[in-house]
Amino acid sequence: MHSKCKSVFNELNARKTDSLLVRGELEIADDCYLYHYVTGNVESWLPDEPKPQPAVFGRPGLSVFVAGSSFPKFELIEHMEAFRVQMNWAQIGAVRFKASDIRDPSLFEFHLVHDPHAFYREEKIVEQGPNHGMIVCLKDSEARVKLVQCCEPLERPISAD
Amino acid sequence: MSSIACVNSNRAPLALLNGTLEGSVNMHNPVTEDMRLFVEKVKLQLRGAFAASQPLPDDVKELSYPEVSFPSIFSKMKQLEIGWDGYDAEVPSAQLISAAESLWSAVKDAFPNLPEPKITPGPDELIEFSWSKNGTNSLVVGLYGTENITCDMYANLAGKPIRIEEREFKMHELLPQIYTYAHS
Repeated sequence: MHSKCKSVFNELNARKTDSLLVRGELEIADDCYLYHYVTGNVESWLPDEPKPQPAVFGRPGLSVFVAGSSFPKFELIEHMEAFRVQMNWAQIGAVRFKASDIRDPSLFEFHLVHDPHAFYREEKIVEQGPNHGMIVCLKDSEARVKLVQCCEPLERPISAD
Repeated sequence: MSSIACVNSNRAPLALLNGTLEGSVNMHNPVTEDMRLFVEKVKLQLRGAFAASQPLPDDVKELSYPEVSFPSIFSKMKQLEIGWDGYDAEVPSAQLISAAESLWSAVKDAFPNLPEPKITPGPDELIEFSWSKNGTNSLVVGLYGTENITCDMYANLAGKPIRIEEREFKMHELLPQIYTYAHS
């Protein structure tokens, strides 16, 4: 496993050390949808492009929000706005993946994990929410291109104004 | 027209600094007034004469050459701050940006007919070059790292994938692969 992926897993495991902040983890079924938010910035998703640039998906730990039968109810627009405010973003857009695509061994070598735990950062509690998950492992050029192919664009980065 | 095409490319500033473009325009082509003003505009920009507080001369303002953009994407990258992607993205290092600029310069020189790629920073020490055909990413080159720069490549040409796994970034190894795409 690449050192960057190990680093992400170490971070995920470290979140489970404070019993006050740990939530129960759920199995992410293949028919779940995984929503990833994109902020409009630095050519990442230009207005004339149907989908974001592959580079947007370059993070070894790609943050997603899981929607599916065993997860708490997920309303995209409401959640997007709450997330935008929480992250203090001026703009926000969204794409979604199917869990079955992310797990497809003919496409990717990713690990899909439920990561609902809150954690401390700079002495503050970061609340990720019960739907939060992570697509873990290296996103090389091939993987990023395939993530673009698999993703379904939902909302372009739009301003709060 | 060839002179204009050259001015519109990213090589223009270097050529102008060396005096080669201006010389060739003066010697071999009739220089229109617009062309002369445009050359002056680029020269002024290169000398940093267009400080934010300093208005452009009126005659320069009237010109419109949308292909030339200052600051370039690389200049934008140099101004990024940690967390620029809204999460906790790293800032591309000076070495990474320099490698990307070198690659872009070499590609423009070697394959002048290749369409311009989208050049996008990624959140994890990444600068990506992406060429598209028919709305899909047909060639993607990733440059990675902070000091020791590595690269990889993925191309999908008529359903035939071409991969270069991550390795040390060497221009002379990468350019032939891009050549394959350029002439496919």
